[in-house]
Amino acid sequence: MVRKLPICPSRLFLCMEQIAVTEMAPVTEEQALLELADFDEVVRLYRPRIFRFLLASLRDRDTAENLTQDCFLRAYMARDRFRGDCSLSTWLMKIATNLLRDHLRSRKMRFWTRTRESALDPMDVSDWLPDERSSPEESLTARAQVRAVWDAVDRLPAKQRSVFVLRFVEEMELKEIAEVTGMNQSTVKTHLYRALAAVRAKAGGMA
Amino acid sequence: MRGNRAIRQMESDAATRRDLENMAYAIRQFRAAVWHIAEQEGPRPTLIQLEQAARRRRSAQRRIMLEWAFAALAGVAVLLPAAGHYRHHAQMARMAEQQQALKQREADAELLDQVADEVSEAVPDAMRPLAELDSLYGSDQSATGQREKNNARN
Repeated sequence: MVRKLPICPSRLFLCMEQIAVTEMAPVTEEQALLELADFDEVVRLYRPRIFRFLLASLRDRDTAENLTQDCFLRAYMARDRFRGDCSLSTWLMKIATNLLRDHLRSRKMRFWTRTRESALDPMDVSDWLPDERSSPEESLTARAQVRAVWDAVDRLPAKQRSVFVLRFVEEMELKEIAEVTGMNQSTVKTHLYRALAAVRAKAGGMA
Repeated sequence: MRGNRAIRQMESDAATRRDLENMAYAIRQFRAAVWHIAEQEGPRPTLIQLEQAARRRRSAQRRIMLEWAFAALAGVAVLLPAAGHYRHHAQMARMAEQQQALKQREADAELLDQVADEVSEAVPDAMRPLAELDSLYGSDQSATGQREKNNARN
């Protein structure tokens, strides 16, 4: 039996303790993770991935953080609808992709609030680079390359950017990307090819 | 000749390979940077996260509605005076047109009167030749009658 919880979070967590785990009928192991007792574990396991995807897509730390929380809130609210047709990671990523799309759409509508106060500066981003190259010159070149790629990714159309980030930051398979984005594999391939060509064209001088 | 072409082809292939390797390296570095930044964000308690998210979502919805309401108000505030100004402008233009038409009519009437006056002065009295003829005839008659009277007397 699946009980529907009230939306108010404070009441929701009171209910969490009252509902016995035995009342649930988990279909899969991953679905069981989604149940109340293990939801913290779901967040702990998948939060970095969702946050990374959103951060790389939005280049804004605060918005990425907010959308990550929204993603888990939605997952929590809709956990009884998860039937294990896809992996939990894919399901969460799908929610994140939808949230990202909605956010970009609403940002387009709220064109007068475009300034991003917590936007990541590519200069700062390149400071996070692990210093693999020995000479300072090589290190500088690497930083310039990251800045160029970061800028090029930021200028990509939303779909191409999502596909690019899922493939090259999250290293997901094309099939999984297709599942997450709701596109078919050939469309994903096309978007990926175009995104790569655009990044290569824009960051090619540096790379 | 064939050897040169092969060498050029090999050089081109090597350049492309080098270009692709550099590109792959840059993307790897980009990935490393994103991972590194994301790792700096420490995990937060779920309860706080969800509470914050729910509160934020509600306030964001309210904010969006307020923003649209404000935008609509601002639109109305801009459009109303503009519409008033347009209406006033149109009214003034209409009045000016009416005045212009009135003036035109008056000028036309005046011109017509002037033309009528000039025409009536220029054209002689239609009966004047007859009157002259009549007077001539009348004086002739009197002269003839006098002569006849004199002849009868003599």
